[in-house]
Formats: sequence, structure tokens, C-alpha cells
Amino acid sequence: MNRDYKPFIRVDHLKKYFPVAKNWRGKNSQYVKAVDDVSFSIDKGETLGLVGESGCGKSTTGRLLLHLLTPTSGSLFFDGQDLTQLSKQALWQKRREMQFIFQDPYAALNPRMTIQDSLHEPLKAYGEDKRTRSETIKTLIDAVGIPSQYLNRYPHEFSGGQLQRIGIARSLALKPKFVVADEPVAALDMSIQAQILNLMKELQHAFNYTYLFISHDLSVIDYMSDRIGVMYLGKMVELTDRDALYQEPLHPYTQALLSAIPIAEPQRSKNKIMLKGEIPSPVHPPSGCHFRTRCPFAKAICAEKEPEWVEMKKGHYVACHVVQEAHQ
Amino acid sequence: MNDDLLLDVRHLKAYFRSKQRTVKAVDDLSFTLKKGEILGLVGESGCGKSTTTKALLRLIGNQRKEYLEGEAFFEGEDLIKKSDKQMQKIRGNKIGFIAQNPMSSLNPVFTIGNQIAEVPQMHQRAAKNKAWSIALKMLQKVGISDHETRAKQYAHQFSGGMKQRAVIAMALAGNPSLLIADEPTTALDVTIQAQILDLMVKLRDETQAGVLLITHDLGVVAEVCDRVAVMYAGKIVEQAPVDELFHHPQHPYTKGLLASMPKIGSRKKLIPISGHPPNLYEMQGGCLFQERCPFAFDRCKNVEPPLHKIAENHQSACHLSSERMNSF
Repeated sequence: MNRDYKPFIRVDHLKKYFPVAKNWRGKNSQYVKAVDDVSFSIDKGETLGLVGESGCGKSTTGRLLLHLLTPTSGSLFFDGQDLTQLSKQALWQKRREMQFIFQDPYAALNPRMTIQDSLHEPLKAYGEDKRTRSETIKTLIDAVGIPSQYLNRYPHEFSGGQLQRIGIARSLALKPKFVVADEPVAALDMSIQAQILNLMKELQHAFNYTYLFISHDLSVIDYMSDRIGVMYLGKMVELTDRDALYQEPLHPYTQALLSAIPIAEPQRSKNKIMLKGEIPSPVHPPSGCHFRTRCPFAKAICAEKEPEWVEMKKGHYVACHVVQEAHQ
Repeated sequence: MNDDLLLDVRHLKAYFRSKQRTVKAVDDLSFTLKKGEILGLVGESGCGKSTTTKALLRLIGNQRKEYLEGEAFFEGEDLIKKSDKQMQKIRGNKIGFIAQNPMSSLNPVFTIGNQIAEVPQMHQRAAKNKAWSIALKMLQKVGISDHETRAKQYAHQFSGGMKQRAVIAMALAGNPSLLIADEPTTALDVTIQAQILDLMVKLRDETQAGVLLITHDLGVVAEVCDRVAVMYAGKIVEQAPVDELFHHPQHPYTKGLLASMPKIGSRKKLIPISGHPPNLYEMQGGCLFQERCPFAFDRCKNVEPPLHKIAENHQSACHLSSERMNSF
């Protein structure tokens, strides 16, 4: 491979701690380690899926990538530039190339603005003149499948699926290179969900977008992504191609997650890996490997040492003592 | 009459009226449920599945603007004709209810044990200490470890999955013969969902109660249900045993739902159902699905298809499937 190959987005040892308690001196004493030492990269035109249960830090990772949250430590390269080192002004210019698609389309649009005004907003902010704005919006609204005579309507006049289309149109108005989609279909019905997923794929195909696709639903992630990262309690536990993740998941958590998903296939064998207990509190995560309290294969070493992030096969990263031992 | 028959709903209608219009939330619904059977009621949001449960529990129909009609025979007695007082003796006793959000079904200022003990105190006039021991037994039954300490704790000390277990314990405390579960796992993470679904099947096997499971997730249906009824716009459009429905769906809506669902490991492009669900107050004649149906023809516009028997235990409300039957 090319030696000075640079991925489009590279994240190194990214950490984000949120303070949750103060001691008697008024200093922060306890932290939620929402994202704890996560590293990965995304190539241009690729979709990286992030999957995990609630509180695993997937949304925080998405927000960190757009620098909507400032990381506690770690670096974040976007198109060769470290976002954490940029000045406010430079970051603002860079933001043009990065956009966000939100989970709840009702909350993402201002109820007192017509969708036309909402769509004008991002373009106005970056100083486009009125005529180019109107033209851009026309092509956009066409691309997402909303009739242009609806432009003067207000958000409450649309259904959830239509609103999500409008939300997507707005995110894409500035022709970004990188889009973070945080659970874009979680609030939608099944038949509408498929429409939105297909739309996002078509748009990616047409404009070569790079996506970070966040979802708790492994089947949606599997449909959308080229590579998939699995997160658990602020850590990434496994990262690989979608085929490898589905065919030979290595980490015990990934295996359990895959087997816990209800599959619409009644005669499938129902040998499930049932995880014991629940996700521990991220304020007091277990020592060593965070997953050890629920892991069916946990050993003594798992409580003592945090597993390292190791590339087991080409492009297949795992953080698990048991898997790494078995491979040696 | 069939001894196994637990619930026999015939031509149930639930309308909501306002000055301008009438919303036909549930329109002419008929289905049956046997003892020890899990019937899944699936459909998208607004199709009337939750209204059905509320109508059966008579939580609607008491106000001027609500209109309830039809019959619902539960153990031979018509629930719709019962007075409020009679219903109070049935709800929580013979019929247990599990709601979607466990937080809103638990009272934050009473201990979990107290809330469960209230059920035998109310319905069986059990003494306080006997009711408490029933509560402990129930908590143990739903798999809450350390149940004696846990019973003295409050809802905020329980995690999401534990709360749902407590709600199930409460629903079971009256020893119900019918359990109505309205999206019992929608608010939970997948690994916890797997635990709760497993628990519900196990409890069904033990108590032989009939379960009416409301869900939007076809995966959940395939995992736990014996029979499925698919609802669309207030009506049942297809009803069949679970294997039959997934392998030989007859109604275009069921087929559409199955095709629009992403499946892990499948590279097939999703085929969404075009358009969006109809407004329940602007219904025109004929089949309600015609606007979104790829096979619609003249008759669909004028004649509403009845729920037609197409095979043993398999019914579908579509002109096409009845026509196919006639041509045999």
C-alpha cells in the first residue's frame, strides 16, 4: 500500500470525559468517560457504521468528529488538518464541509419557519446570494423527493418521513464532504425507514459523500455501512468490514449483540447467547475490560488489565484478552 | 364453544370524534386468542394497535367524544358491556397490562414491592404480609436477583430492564389469564430486549396465559409469536400463523413490510412502500392501501376487500388474494 496514504478522517486516542460531580472544593471529582481512547479512520466515500447500546458513546463520538464537542484529549484529522488545533474562524470555514443529520426531524426544524426559510438558513450563513440559494434549494428538494410547491409549508404539515427528507436536504445544502447521521431512521416507521436509507445511499452514490452512520440497530448498520465499529461503555471493542463482522465476529460482545437481534425468520435456530445482567454505569465502569461483568468467557486477567486495541487480521481490530490469547 | 378460546373480539370499532371530523382509529376489528397463545399485533404508528388494547381494557369509550362498539368476549363475558366497576375488578387481575415505558407505569414514591403487593391486596383481599410475600415471589419469578432488598427499593434505583421486569411482575401478580403487552421492549436495548422476550415466553409456558403482544418490530414477532395479525389504518389486513405469514405473505402491505426490512447479511436493495399511511379522517371508499399498492386496480377503488379466508388459519383482506382463490 502507498506509504504516505492518508485517510480522509483519522481519529487518534480520542477521549471525552464529562464531569458529573464536584468535591467540597468545587473541583470536578467524578467523570463519565463517554468516549475513552477511541481510534479509527474513515476513507473518502466510505460509510463507517457505529453501533452499540444506549450510553456506549456513539453519539458523543459523532459530535466530537464534527467538533461540536471539544475532546478532552486526542487528535482528530479531517482532510489532513487537525481540527483540535484550528482557530475558531478556520474551524467555522471547515464546518461547511461537515454536516449532521439528526435523529428527530421534528426537533431539528424550527416550527415557526417555513421549510423554505429553514433551507435558506445554512446557505445564508455562508454568504450565498439569493439566486444561487434558490437554485440550490430547488435541486436539493428535488433530489430528496419533496415537491417544490411544498416549500412554503411549515414543519407540522409534513409527515415524519417527509420531514427527515427535508432535514437531509438541509444538511446537504452546503455540499459537505462528510456527514454524520445520528440514528436518522430511529424515529421512523418501517416502510418509511427503507425510503430514507435508500435515499441516503443514492445521494452518497451521486455526490461521493463520506458518512459516519450511527445506529443502535445492527441490521440498519449492516445495510448502510462498508465497515462497522462496535462500541461498549465508551470503548470501541471491534472494528472491521461488514462482511467479516457478520460472518466471524471475534469479540464476545459483538457475538452476543448479533445473536440478540430479533430476526424476521421464524424457523431460524434459536440458540441465543443471552447476556447476563445489564450495562454498568459509565461513572463507575468495571476495572480492566469494561465488558467482563457480562462476558461469558471472562478470565482473571480481564479484571486486571485493559485489553489492547490490536489488529488481529488485516483491517480487523479487536480489544479482548480472550481473543488475543487464543490467536497467539 | 371452544374451550381453549380466551378472547374473541368481534367487529370492534373505536372512533374519536371532534366537531369537524371523526377519526376511525379501530374499524371493524375481529380476532381471537387461545389460551397459552402469543398473538402479535403488528403495524406502523397510527394503525390503531394501541387503541385496540385501550378499547379492550375499556380505558377509552367512557367519554362523549369517544365511541366504542362491537363485542369482545373474554372467558365468555363481553368486556364492552361491563360497567366501570366490573372492569376495575378485571383490570390488573384477570387481565394484566404491560406498557411500553416502564418508568411511567411505576409510581416513583412507593417501593417496588409495595406496588406489586397492592395487586393481591386489591383483588384478592390478601393481608399485608401475605401480599408482601406474593410480591417477593413475583420478583423472584421475573428474575430479579437479591429480590428481598430490591423489593424495598424505589423505581429510580432500578435500571430500564429491571423496571420492565418489575412491571411484568406487577402484571402477573393477579395471576392473569390474559396478558396485554403494548410494545414491551421498544424502550430497551437489544441485549436487554432479548432477556425480556425470553422471560415472557418462559412465563407463558408456565402460566398458560394468553398474550396479546403489540409491536412494530417484525423481528420480535418472528421470535416469540405463534400467530400474527397485521394492522393497517385501523383494520386487520392479514392474519396467519407466524411461519405462514413470513414465508407466504399474501397481502401487498405485508409483502411490502417484509421487503422494506433490512436483513443482516443480505445485500439486496430494500424495496420501500411508496407514499405514507393515510389520514384516518380522510378515508375514501375502497381498499385503504390502494394508494400505496403496486397492484391496485379498478375494483380496489370502489369495493373494500373483506378479510377473506385463503387457507386454513390464513386470512387476507385483498381482492387479489381472494381472486386467486376463486380461480382455483
